[in-house]
Amino acid sequence: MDKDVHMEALALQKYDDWLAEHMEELVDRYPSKVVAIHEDQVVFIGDAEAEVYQWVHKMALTPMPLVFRVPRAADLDTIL
Amino acid sequence: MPTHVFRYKPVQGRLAPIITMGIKLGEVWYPIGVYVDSGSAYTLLHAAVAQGAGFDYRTGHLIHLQVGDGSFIPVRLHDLELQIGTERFLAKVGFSERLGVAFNLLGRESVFARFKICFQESQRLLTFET
Repeated sequence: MDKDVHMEALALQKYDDWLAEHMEELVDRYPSKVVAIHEDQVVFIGDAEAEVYQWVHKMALTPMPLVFRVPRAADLDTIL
Repeated sequence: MPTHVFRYKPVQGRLAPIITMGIKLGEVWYPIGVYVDSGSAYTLLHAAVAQGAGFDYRTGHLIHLQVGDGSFIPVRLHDLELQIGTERFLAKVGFSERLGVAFNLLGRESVFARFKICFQESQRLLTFET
């Protein structure tokens, strides 16, 4: 397997595991906010993707942080 | 056959089939959280994601998709690389400024034919098998 693909898969899995462990905490603390997650912690909080990605690009962190809009419970009712 | 396993994400006690995948915008791979939605024809992302990443989504093919209330929303379609687990593949991905839901959606086109996807909510697991 391509090394880049394998590294990316590990990073994605790590982010996914972190979200599974911390989603409730995110929903309680940052509903509807956009957060950047890196190295097992929230490293930036914003109101919109634009400002969070701007920060992410400025910081040039590796691996690329996960930018995630935190849902509210009510948001689950909007999915068909 | 590789099987990629994801945990459901709890949202105030309710379980959401959200997974983290990769998407290549320009020359950069971005991790992104998406709600796995068998009711969505296409993978649909908020235009704000593309704007934030500096990707000009407006160059994509314009289509109009009907949503739950019967109205149509404009969507710009692109062929983009996605990564789920260790699988990289091209997929039709749409961007819209009027998505109408809070989540980015992982839809059927280019995805559901590639994986056998099992929603095992009782075990709080989603599996993608190639």
